[in-house]
Amino acid sequence: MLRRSLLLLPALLLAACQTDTPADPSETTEITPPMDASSTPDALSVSDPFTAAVPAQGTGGVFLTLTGGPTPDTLIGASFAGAEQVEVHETYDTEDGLRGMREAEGGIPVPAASTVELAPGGYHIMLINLAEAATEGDTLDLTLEFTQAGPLEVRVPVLGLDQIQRPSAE
Amino acid sequence: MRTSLALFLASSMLLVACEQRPDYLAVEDDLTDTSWTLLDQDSTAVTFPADLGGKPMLLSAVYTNCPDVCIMTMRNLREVHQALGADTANVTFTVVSFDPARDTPSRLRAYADTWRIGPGWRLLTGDSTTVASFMDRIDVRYEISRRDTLLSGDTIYSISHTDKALLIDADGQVLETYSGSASPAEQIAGDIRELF
Repeated sequence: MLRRSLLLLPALLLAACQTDTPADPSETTEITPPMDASSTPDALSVSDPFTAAVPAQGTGGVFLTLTGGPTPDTLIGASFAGAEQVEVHETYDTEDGLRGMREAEGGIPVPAASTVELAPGGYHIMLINLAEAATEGDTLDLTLEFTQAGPLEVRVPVLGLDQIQRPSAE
Repeated sequence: MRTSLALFLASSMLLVACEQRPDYLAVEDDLTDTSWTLLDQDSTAVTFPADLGGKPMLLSAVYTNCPDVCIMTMRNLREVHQALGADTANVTFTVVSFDPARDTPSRLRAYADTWRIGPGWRLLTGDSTTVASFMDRIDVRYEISRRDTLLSGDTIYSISHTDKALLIDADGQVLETYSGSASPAEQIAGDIRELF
């Protein structure tokens, strides 16, 4: 029972600290501090994208890492031809201990020269009502939309259940 | 005389087995006298827990249109399954959907195929009343948090829900509660092994 209590403690603390107002991204999403000036990237970039295999008519979640360029930016949307609707989402915890998903109001901020991880349990891009199955080994071509950088193409590998990694924050 | 000796030895072995179970795996709830009729991914009627008894069970609750918390729960259960190796034959992996309107048996079959989960898994759904009763009994709460209409006219919705997995012994007693998506798979597998 003690082990159970210890296991549930982080969730209880999280629930106690959060309301169902927009979550503080730092609580669910890893954001690394700005790099020093000598290593500041020239432009915003995307790395390590993945999504899990989903049958046709299902809902997919895309996860990836954003690295900010020399100026702050915001991921405000995304598009994918194979989904009826695409939304920038966040997972949140309600005051009474439930977990849910909703649109990330105002998008996902990407500070200059910092990395923001879209990982399970935090931010993700929601692919709603997929026309075709996303099968393990496939790649999906998405376009991300940023306020400053504009559109950015990204190829997203489709992974099997076994290949999905735990968020690095865990 | 032989019968008495055999009974004595059997009782002693049972006692030793009980004593070997760690204190933290105490009975939290007893589902022995409960009964719900659900449908698995092959549309086969399953009476829970009677039809699934006789083995320790790892049970969780998800909905398939949840690509974040629920996919991590499925991944976690899969990791437990793999961690158990040959011992998986002695465990039942059960996942019940709290979205029966969309998670029909054929839908669960499509996900079972996509996720490549084997015959040792039971993905269950049922009528909404039965599912509600079941979820209430195992203290899994769920509520529609957002509803929207797509351009096609299709209605979509998201569900806020409890993130939980239960370890149930072969007799139908709940021994441990975990975070379905986040509790370490190695620890859950270790707890299950304590029941063999």
